[in-house]
Amino acid sequence: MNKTQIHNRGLYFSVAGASVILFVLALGPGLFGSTNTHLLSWQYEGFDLLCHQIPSRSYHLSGISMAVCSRCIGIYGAIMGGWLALPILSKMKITHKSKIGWLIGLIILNLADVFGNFFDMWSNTLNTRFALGAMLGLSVAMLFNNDFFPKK
Amino acid sequence: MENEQIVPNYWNSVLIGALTVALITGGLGIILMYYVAGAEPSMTLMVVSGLTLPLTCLFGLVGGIIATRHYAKTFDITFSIGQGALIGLLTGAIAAIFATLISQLWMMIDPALMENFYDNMIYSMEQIGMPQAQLNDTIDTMQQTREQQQSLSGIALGLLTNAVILGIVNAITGMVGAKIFASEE
Repeated sequence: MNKTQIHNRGLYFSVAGASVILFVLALGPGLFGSTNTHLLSWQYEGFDLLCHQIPSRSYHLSGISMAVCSRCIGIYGAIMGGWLALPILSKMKITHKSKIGWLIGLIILNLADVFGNFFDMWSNTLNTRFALGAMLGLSVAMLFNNDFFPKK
Repeated sequence: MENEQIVPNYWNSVLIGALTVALITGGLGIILMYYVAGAEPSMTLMVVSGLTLPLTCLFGLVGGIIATRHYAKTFDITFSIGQGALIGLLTGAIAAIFATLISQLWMMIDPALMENFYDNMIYSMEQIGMPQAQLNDTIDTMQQTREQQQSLSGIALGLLTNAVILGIVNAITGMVGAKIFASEE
């Protein structure tokens, strides 16, 4: 029977666990059925140095806004999804240079979206911000597609 | 012990990354509070705060990248993504401590800032015609938040959750930094 080999097993599973915890916390108090509104919950406090947490720019769960905005939840969700899917993603052949190129390109695209919206050049929505954030998160996970699961 | 490799000390890089994150996140927060506390209460104030805040998003995760870049460039070395994760984790956790210290020190230097900030926010909400019941609820929530944040247990809880979350995200960006700046690929 073929067993999947994992290099650096401890690091892979630590980051997998941490990314799941990060995503669950980012979903905010609504996930746990809490009625604690904005700012009073520890999930909001935990992310307050990372995200603006404006309710109108965040998805809501059980009527309560998530602990991070839609772009950030896209990033954390895609990092988690991408990391857990690394056994599959490792089968893709992408050069180191092009992975870094994608990452930098998506950072620039996200910044352009923030500033374009800020200067009224266009209006982004919850879903477009989520999609751009998710693409960025996935490019972060993809950066490590050769590090844990060796190609046969 | 001929095979034993000496690993250069990474604490300088960790402290530089942590201080950068703390100054950016803590500093921007204080600047915004001064802006809100000093501006004329109006609808524009609420709109400007709402528009400016998104620009401050995600600065907190650059610590891992800054620290790993500094470490790799200073010693001109390559290192593993695991070490990048450790450097990022420490950077994030220490950044949370620095950010808490900065905000607490600032509240001691200028205790009126918080008072003015809340007064102006409440006055602006009155100006935009928020219904009285909703306004009362919001004021209650703000009061509770303020009391909680200023208590010792509130500060400790805030520090702990910030340290865990900043630690995790900066561990990931530390790995990214290791991959970009210190990889043999």
